[in-house]
Amino acid sequence: MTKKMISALLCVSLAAAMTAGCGKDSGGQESGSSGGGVVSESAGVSDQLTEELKAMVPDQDYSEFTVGFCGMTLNNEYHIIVANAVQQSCKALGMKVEIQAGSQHQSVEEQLTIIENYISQGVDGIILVPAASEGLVSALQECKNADIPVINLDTKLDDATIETLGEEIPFYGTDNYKGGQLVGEEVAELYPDGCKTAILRGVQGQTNDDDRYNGFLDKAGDVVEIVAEQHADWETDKGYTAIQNAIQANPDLEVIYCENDLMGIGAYQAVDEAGLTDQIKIFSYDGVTEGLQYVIDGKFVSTCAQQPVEMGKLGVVNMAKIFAGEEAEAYIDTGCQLVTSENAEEVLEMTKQYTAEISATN
Amino acid sequence: MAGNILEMKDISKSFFGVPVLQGAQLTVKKGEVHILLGENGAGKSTLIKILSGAYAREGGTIFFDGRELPPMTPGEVIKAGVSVIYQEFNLVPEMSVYENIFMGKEYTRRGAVDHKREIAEAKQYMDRVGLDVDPRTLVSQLSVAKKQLVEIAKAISNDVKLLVLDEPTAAITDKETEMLFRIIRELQKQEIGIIYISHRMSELFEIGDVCTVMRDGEYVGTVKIKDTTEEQLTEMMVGRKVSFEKKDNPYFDRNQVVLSVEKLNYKNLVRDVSFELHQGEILGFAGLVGAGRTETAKTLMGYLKKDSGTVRYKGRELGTDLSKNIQQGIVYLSEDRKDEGLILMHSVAENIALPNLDKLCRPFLSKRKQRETARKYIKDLKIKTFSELSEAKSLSGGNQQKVVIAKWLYADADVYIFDEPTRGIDVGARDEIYNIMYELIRKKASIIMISSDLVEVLKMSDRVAVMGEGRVKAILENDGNLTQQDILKVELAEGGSAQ
Amino acid sequence: MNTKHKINLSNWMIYIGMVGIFLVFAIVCSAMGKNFLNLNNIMNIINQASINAIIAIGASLVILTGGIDLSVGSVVGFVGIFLAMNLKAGMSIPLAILLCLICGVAIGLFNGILVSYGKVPAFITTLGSMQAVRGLAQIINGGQAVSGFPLEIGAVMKTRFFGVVPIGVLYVAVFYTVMVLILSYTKFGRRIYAIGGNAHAARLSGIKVKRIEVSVYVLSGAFAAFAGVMLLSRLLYADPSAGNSYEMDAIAAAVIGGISMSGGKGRLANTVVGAIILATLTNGLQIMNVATYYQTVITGLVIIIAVFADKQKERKAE
Repeated sequence: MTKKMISALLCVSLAAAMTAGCGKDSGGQESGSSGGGVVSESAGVSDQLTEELKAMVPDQDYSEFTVGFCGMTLNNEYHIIVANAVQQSCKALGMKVEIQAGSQHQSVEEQLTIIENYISQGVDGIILVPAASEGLVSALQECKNADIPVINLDTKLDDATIETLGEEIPFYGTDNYKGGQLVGEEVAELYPDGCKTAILRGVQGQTNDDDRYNGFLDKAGDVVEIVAEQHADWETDKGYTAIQNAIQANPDLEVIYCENDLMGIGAYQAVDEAGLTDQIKIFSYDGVTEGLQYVIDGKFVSTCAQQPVEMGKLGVVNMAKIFAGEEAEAYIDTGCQLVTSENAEEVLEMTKQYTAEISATN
Repeated sequence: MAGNILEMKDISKSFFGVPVLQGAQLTVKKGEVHILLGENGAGKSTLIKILSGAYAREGGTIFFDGRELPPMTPGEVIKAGVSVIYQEFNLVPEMSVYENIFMGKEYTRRGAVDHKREIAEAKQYMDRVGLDVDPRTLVSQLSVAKKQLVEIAKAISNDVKLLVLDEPTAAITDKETEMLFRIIRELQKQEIGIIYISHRMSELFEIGDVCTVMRDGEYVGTVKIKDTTEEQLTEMMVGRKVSFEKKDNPYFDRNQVVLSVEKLNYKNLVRDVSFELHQGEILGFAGLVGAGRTETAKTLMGYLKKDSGTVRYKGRELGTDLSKNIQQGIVYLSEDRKDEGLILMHSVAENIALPNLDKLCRPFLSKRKQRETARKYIKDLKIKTFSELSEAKSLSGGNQQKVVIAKWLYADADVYIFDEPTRGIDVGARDEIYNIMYELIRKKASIIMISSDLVEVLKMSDRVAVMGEGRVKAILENDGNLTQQDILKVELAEGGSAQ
Repeated sequence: MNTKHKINLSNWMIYIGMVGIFLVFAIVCSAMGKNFLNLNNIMNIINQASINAIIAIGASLVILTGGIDLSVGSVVGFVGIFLAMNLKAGMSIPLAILLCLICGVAIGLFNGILVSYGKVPAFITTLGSMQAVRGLAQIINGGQAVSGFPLEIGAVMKTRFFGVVPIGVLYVAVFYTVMVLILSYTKFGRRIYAIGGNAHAARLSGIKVKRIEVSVYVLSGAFAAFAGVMLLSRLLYADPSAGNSYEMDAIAAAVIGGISMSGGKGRLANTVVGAIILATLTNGLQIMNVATYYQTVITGLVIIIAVFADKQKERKAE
């Protein structure tokens, strides 16, 4: 009942709130699907995390240092987990941290501004999840000139960018190509005689889109027959429409490979509405909680889970190493894992635990 | 004696086939202040716009500084040495004084604007016109008089040989006027010719050397100021007496006050305006453009928000809610039919229906009735249109005016405020509109008729309110003996009875 | 008499365009051995167009008054999260939907008052509220998507009549019929056209211009909110970035339908055709499995062609 009251109040105060604008975080801990929101800056850190991280870095005082985190976006669970992991890890090591991100998956320009602001603020290091590589070259160049170390998480800057820059940037993330291969193998195994397949791809020009796509084709390309392939920009509603149309064109469609869970959710709704859940199987990617739940419910055959918490932690730990004058690891594959109905509940449990670990303790 | 700086001969121009200038001429000597005088619509501003290149002339020749000018663009005319300063200034308010002075002829150094040099030079020009502000001041922060000085400084920077001032004292104080006159005399000494347009008689006699009078787009004559009198100039402006007959108005009931306005004020455009309007009366409002007639009308009905004053309508005080006042029967028919009268892209029928949707929608609009009504008024008012579904913009000016009238006839209003009801309308259609007005008062409506056409005012009005500078200067009875001279005398006199 | 015929023909131009696009796809698809022209797909198209079509009603009304509403996409996103949270908290479906509509009205009221009484240009006002409402959508659940609410809400969008007609088609039919009638046959509707045609003249005709202006923004907000409810029940997943750039699709539908961006002119009935044309393009091109790059190019070209044809028509009329 109180919740209803809150909602009603919210309506009334809406207009007033809008003029006040929007803060970047409000500590909205009202429980979403699981992960909570972006945790507030003042939130506490669990002792467990502090101990674990301190053991990984040279023992010294890091309170002088400020890390700027530039996320791809903060409007989906996966990226929020990465951001939280970075924020809490920084605090565990006593470092100051700034969290900013673009408003959409494709917001390269916004990222550019964020990085430039970090440089002018004089942060000591930047942890970046790039929305696209090309657009960020100039900002990275500025970082290099200002001697600010950059660590790249989750989505790898493409080779051309690194080459233009003339400097290696440490990368910790899933090898999306491998992840794509995992899904490809699975499909090839389940459909040895081939199957009609539709692929939902992400935003054109992003490296992880290409990697997930090419990895999949590497293992399954010879087996499956790709009858439809559309970029749905990682978005649920576009995934829905694209699959509805793909089914219209190919009533005998058997397999859908979705490069992230959000598009997968849209795809499932389209399949469900067409009444073809028995005929069409969905293979997804990402392993966000809702995606894992879909696997448990049998709506997805599998999803390829990544380790966002691990990425965040590694990013901060290696940044600390740089601050302490040590070398950062050049590349770590944080690994990925195919989640099927067999291990889905287990992975969901683990994710919740991870999330709890990096959540605020008050 | 110095030679002529400007000779315009036999200038003619027409709009849509209606001649507005015929054989106009104007000769200005170097270092002379030449007054250009005439009523509204006499063709003064058209002549000036032809000089400035804003309009193309259809006939005639212009000699400037000893050589014949071919048709030129406004920019070329300025380069040749003619600067026109309109009442609406041609300045960019959000730029500084010096930037305005150098607009379009910026000094550059290595590709970039040389601000230092511009500021230094602007200062010189500003000193010459006695403008004592920092050249970097934004124009928007200056008073009207100072903006005027910026315009003059800009003209000087363009090496002006002939300066045209259009009613330069209309919006400035007496003290600022004195200052302006000093500058004009200074420019005179530098052999710069000046064309000065104004209606203020006292001013003309103070600053002018020579005066050219225009009337109905034609040249009337040129006289030396020191050889003439106010009376003579007025007569030249009015011309021979136009014959017309003032009809008797048996419906004018002096005992029934429909509208009474007391000490109405709106900014400084309407000042302490008081008058009464009676049933069946046509009350003419004469005055020059900018006298505050339109503003008075718009303020009394609530379109503009009055600062003070009361309006009583049929004995009850009228609020400031425009749509309520309209509903009660006070309607305004704008002189600006395209912007304020009609929705040009909508059909004649839709326009007539607009203020009458209450009658046509119960609760759903009957399109049949909307069309039938429109057809009735098209017939009654002899509106020339292809059909009631034609767009309003396809009609001629006179027929558009009739559509506006039809809107309010159907609404059955009580007080009609006509603002320049026959402007831009050909003679035949004028009489039809006058007949509609007679028809209205026969139905016991009352009319306020704002008009700059004195013939029209004298022909139609039972009484004439003469306005100037926001005030009602006098309300004259039109008993048949009232003449144009009488009205003009009040118009052109300084101050007025209200002061 | 000649003119009359011409006017009638040009009013039908948009329908001819729609049928033309249908025929092209039907021919090309059947040549490729794909099924385009059957009842099921036509229903699909209208269903896919339905959310945009509903938003486009509001967009059309606002544009008819000479304004613009950029905030609708954000309203869709906000309402989705808000509805999902309320449902998850156990609120009944009708009440939760009602609250969403109230939110839409509140946002519309805010826009409308700022535009009419505050005299802030519509573009600026709604650009601001677009950002602010998107921010709110993130704030109320900490940027997180919402799932795990009762799935009964799916009935709002997933119900099918006689097994073929999706309920989305019904919404479109009902709302368009009602709004088209309101626009042509009520005082309110005629006044919307009037103030878009010439606000000064409308005011001097006794119309309360500001009130009408506020009410079209309110309607726009309410329709966007309903579209948000439709989207949530279609996807059963609330994502704060949902409805991203929907305002552009709605404006595109209105413009293709011939609503004049300067206001005062256009038929709402054609807006739905505009929305269907847009959905048909996506549908047809995706059935043909044309690469996404080309789809955006083709959609853009169709918008330009539609507006160009409209302008030509006007020029001829003059």
